Amino acid sequence: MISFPTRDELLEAVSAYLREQLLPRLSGSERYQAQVAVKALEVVARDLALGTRSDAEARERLLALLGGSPSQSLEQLDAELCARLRDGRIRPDQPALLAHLRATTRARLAIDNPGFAFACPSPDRAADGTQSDGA
Amino acid sequence: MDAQELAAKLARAWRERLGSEVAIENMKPLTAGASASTWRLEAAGPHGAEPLVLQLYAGGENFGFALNKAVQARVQSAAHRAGIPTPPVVLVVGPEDGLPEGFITPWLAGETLGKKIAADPALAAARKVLPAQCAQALARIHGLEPADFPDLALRPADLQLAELAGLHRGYGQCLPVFEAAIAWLRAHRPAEAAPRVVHGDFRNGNWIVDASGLRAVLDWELAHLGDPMEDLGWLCMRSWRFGRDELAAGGIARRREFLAHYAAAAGAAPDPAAVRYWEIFAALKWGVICQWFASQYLGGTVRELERAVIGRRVSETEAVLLDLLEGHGD
Repeated sequence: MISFPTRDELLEAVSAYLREQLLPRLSGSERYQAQVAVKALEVVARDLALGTRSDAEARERLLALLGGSPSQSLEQLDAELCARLRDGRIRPDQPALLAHLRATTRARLAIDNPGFAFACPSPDRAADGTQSDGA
Repeated sequence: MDAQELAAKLARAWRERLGSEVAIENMKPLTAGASASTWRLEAAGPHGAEPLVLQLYAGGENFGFALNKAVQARVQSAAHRAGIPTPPVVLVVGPEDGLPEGFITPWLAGETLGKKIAADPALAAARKVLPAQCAQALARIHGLEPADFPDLALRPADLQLAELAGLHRGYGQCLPVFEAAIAWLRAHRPAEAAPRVVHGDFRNGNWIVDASGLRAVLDWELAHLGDPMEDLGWLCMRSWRFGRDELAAGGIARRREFLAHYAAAAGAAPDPAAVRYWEIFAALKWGVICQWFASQYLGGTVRELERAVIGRRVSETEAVLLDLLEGHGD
């Protein structure tokens, strides 16, 4: 593996260039595009750090859920799960299914958008019956 | 086509269609999307300059079903005539004018950015009256006579669900959360009621709001006939709240408060199970739209970075779907 710099360090160097040198000189739509680019590099960095492990864990869970052959890839197992959901062999409210989907979605959000609120008690319901201040 | 050529063609269409001479001036592009561009302009005649908005088809692909600009103009005109707060259509243009399909409406001052409508301190007073005003506008849309809208297709839940499932599976990315949602939606379809006019995209990005509140409802391109609860479910989707997560109804009102305003205006309380069904449907639809944006980049149709990046927002819609399916509601 080439390590001087590592791929993570190189990625961070590109990201730092965009943030520190390019962004301050841009305005309007160009600035917005560059901000989107910075966000995209952050997703890539988290994917590099977490993706392999979260895929392996998803594969383990799917093997337990579907009882497939240990040689099956994550893609094959995902396709099998989708097929069973489509033809009704697995029901969408099955607790073991939902536990797997929740764990998978949590792992995907950790890469794509770690700040996204997931499974919080609903503030809307908690405050039901009270009036909105409207402001 | 540059602004000068566009202005000359618009002035000619104006003369031919409306029988008066105007100069089209001060053309400013407002938005330039892949499927439509919007301009602010002025029609200057003997009585002064009238500020207007032009929407033009831009040649790109729309997501799934969408009305073309000529039909959209007819629907908006009919809604305006029936008393819905939406701008009247002043002029319709098209290939006979050497232009893409499009139409012109009066310019209304006000805010159209959803984020500002939900959060800008300058609109705090407007937000006090928006819940009732928007619920009333929506109930009046749903009270329109379907026979007055012969352009609108009947789009019941099962038809739309089959379309979404087909689009999703066409992208070749297996998403078990989406398949679980599709299976749930198949099993829980609400009873079919008499079809009503459905706006199809009723949310804070398609309103004009000023200090007095709601001035107009815009963007009828997804209008159809169907279950009016579809509009309530779409409005309650998390993406339009802009950080005001406690205000589930479009970032402007608590869900229960909005449904009470709607019930008062419509004369009947919405069935919460039907609203929940359409909220889940809305989250799936937004998820498939995210996939569609990414597919446009990956397929080479639209080379915009943002389209590629939005594909990674699919996981947000999966989280929303799971929360809804598991009754965290939100």
